[in-house]
Amino acid sequence: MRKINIKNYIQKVGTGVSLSSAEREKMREVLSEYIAIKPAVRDTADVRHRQEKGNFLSSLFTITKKPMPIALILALLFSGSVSYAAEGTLPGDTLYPVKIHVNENLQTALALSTEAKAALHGRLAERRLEEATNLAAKNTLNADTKADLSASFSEHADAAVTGVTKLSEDNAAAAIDVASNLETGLAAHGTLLAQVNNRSDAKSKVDVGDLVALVHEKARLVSAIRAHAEGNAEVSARAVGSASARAAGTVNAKSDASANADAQKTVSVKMGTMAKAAIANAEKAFAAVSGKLDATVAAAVKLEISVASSLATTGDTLSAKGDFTGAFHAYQQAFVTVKKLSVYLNAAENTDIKVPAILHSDSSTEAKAESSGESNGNDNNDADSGILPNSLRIEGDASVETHAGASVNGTGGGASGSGSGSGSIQIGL
Amino acid sequence: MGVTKEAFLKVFEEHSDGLFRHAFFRLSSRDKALDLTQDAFLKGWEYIRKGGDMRDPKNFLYRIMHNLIIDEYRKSKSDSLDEVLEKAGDATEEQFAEGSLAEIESSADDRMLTERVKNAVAELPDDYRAIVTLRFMEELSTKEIAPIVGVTENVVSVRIHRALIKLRGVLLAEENI
Repeated sequence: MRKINIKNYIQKVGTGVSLSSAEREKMREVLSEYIAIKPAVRDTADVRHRQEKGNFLSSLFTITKKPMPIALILALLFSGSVSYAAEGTLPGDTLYPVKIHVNENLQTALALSTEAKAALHGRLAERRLEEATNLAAKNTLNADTKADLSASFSEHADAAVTGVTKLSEDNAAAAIDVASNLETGLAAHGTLLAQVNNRSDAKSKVDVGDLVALVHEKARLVSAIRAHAEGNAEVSARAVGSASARAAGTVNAKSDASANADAQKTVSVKMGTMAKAAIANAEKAFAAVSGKLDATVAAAVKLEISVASSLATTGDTLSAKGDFTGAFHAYQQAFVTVKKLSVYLNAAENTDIKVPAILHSDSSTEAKAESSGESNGNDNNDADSGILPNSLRIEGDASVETHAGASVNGTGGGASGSGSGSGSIQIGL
Repeated sequence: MGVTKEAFLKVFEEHSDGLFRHAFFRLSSRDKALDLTQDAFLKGWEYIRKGGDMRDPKNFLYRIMHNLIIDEYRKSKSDSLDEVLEKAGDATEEQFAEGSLAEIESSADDRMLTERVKNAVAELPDDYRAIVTLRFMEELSTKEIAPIVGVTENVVSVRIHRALIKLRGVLLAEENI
């Protein structure tokens, strides 16, 4: 008779059970909104302030005039299972309108900062693509739904782009995070959607080739903005340096290398946090669907996750040495790797896509192809091109900054920046 | 100022998985576990926003969850026993169909044993299952578990001991078939 350690097995039984990243995110959003609506008793001024803003929430307030019934409405919305059940629905489902018109409008109304807004629109844009992919995979996507989803996708993607553009001026670190996330997500969704579209077994399907093209177009736009934000990170570091230096009335800003390093550190640390969270999410998403994957795909996914983890470790090492530019790129590469995976793993939960094109290194995602294109044409953008060139980048720091400065001047048009900027960057691509 | 939104969301990040897992094994239903996990955090915030304290977030949240689970049991008492057992069976199957990273890595033998332990845990009386999952999955100490389930530390230890004997018994019986 074998002697087994039951305690270990109980623990093992537990490790397979966790929230999927989508479930956790949804839950977190609900909680976060709930807290925003029902702040700690002493913070009620916050609520009043929000009431004055003309948004979705204020319309709820004006219906009833008093805060209490609102709490009641929201309590119903949140604790009742309708809103929750609506979250996972697809176009054509009874509760889908609740998801779009209640849940998502509420989320939009509650995202107050530019960063939160941009991130939310990015997420909603990705959601529309998820829905399109799920429907297409089931052969239940019709032309009308496709048109609706494309329009909604476009709308959210544009809103995200506007947000990121705005953000890149005053909070480069946030802009880079939101844009990296969106860019990778779009590229991965595009690849997945194209794969579903090209399946031979689909009967009477609606062609989504034009949606795929639209997705890649938006991805390129986001990519361009991200490249600029990365340039800005170094430049705005100087701006910060100069402002503080002037305030202190001491050093010349241009020589204030330490302030520059500080800002690079901020950007790098933020990316590191995001990458590590994404790795953890990918691991959980993998645990949730690994039973559905066949062995080779599971092995490939595992490999990608471990690559991402070691990239993150490299990031930590570089960061400890004070090489924040190098660390940033390692973290970003780690993030891109697992974000792609997560998109696929979430899709694997709902579709029968067995072997994702995302995992083939030869037909690798557009994101990679695009970014390598970028780095050929544009020195200041090496985002996704891997960790190897890092040492080169560090040596070339000075030139990077020059380029960054140039590109900022190029888009310095102000409000019209997003339009004219995208044009000039696409030439760079 | 008590607990801030940021602090509470951080607590959410830290404990949502554990609470969900705990609810899942107590209720054998993913959907119910999702609902209760969400509820636990909303209730937690309700308490805090009115000036309540959360000195030990883990203890605080698991206690809320424990109460929610008990309520849930009371609600579903009216279900027939057969139905409940059937549901539990489905859930464990579903759970296994979903699989886990650990299982893929392990040999088939190991996998079977894990499944059997999973089933055996699902069949424990709830008093035992609550404590076993808290102790070995969430790795809480007996001292931490006691206030959550509302018994003394001593009782917790005794139940852990008995639960392990029960589990071992179930597994050995299967082995000999």
